Amino acid sequence: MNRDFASRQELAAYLSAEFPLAAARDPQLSPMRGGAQAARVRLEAIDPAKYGFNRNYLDGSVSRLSPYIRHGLLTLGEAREAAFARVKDRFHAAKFVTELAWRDYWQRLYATLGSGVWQDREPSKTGLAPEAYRADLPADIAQGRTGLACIDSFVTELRATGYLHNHARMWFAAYVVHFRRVRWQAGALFFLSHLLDGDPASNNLSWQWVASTFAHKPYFFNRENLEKYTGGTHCRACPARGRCDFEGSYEQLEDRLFRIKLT
Amino acid sequence: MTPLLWLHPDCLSLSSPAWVRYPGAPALFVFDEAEIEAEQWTLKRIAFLYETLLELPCEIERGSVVERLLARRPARIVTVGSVNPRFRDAVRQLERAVPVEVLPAVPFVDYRGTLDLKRFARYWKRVEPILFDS
Ligand SMILES: Cc1cc2nc3c(=O)[nH]c(=O)nc-3n(C[C@H](O)[C@H](O)[C@H](O)COP(=O)(O)OP(=O)(O)OC[C@H]3O[C@@H](n4cnc5c(N)ncnc54)[C@H](O)[C@@H]3O)c2cc1C
Repeated sequence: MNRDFASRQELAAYLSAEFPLAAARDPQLSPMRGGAQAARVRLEAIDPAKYGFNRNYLDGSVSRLSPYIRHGLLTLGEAREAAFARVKDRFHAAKFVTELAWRDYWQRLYATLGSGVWQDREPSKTGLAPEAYRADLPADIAQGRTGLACIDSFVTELRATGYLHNHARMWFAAYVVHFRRVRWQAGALFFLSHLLDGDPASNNLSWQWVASTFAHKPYFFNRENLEKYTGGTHCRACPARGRCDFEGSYEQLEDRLFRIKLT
Repeated sequence: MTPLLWLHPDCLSLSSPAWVRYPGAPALFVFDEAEIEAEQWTLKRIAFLYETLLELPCEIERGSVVERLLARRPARIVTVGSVNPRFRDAVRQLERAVPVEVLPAVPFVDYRGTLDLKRFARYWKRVEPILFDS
């Protein structure tokens, strides 16, 4: 295939012609660029100490290294060394290194499970029968037209950039699986389709963790939680403000979503 | 006898063990159309890999990984290990036709023994001291 391109547009046009099915699914290119050069820039920008206390916030100091790590441009070891070099005491990089280890953990599981990562690891803990979940992703979700400002904005961002913050991935997955009762596999495939770091191990096993087929209980959230970690940006402008699916206490949502008492 | 370096989506770095061992060897990356369709990749995923490959001294093709590699009639193939089942299948198929050397990827944790992977907490109990020690 060609190696000479005068511009990124030219590359995009060439790839659209060579991979028409992929382009038909979504022709956008991400602002995040591939290549060792881009990986190095990201690595130099990491702030593991800040990460330790703000990583759950959407505007927190997350590294955005995942596409580079996923494709071997950087090893987990290199990321760890860079983090240690950035702090006075290794302890200050502990949270960051723990997250790197999550990837290693999923990869080790992948070695034993293979394509089994597409199957439930354990029965779900929601009290609902497998038939309660629909098999395909509803179109309003895939197109970012649910009417929920947060969910729609996550979809728009995912489609445009191929990246989502970890917390947004968790909320989105919980919305798909628990609030809309869709099989986790449909959501996982949607993510693999778009994520630059898309990896069947980290992705599918995280979906299973949310779904509770690889966890002791399902992961879900309420609006208060989302509002806190997003600074309220989505909720403020949301057409469903005050009456959205996520309103209520955890106890109320638990009653609404599941068939068993979790707490 | 110069081997053919097989690049795949898990090892796209010049400091990957295959290049370190065989600097200057011809290298080939094949966009696996079966994988792209199975995972429904959108164009941005392909473009990200493509931009990465443009910085590497390699040739790029698309189609069936095994077919494209064997079409080069290599005397042998060298690559870096991956736990992806597609990679493992491809290695098995290639080995029927040509010697394949799979170099281990650089491990994150050099743990000797079997790790309990039932839950992250069990794994973490074993690896945490190693990660913060070395
Ligand atoms: C539903 C869902 C799907 C996911 N799908 C993927 C996926 O396909 N590929 C993927 O790499 N990650 C996936 N993750 C994990 C995590 O969300 C991303 O790795 C992380 O958000 C990437 O952003 P970052 O590079 O800024 O991460 P940072 O928080 O800066 O972390 C640094 C690095 O550690 C690793 N890492 C961090 N958190 C995790 C985690 N929970 N699991 C595994 N590795 C982690 C990544 O390599 C990441 O680049 C998923 C999580 C969820 C909840």
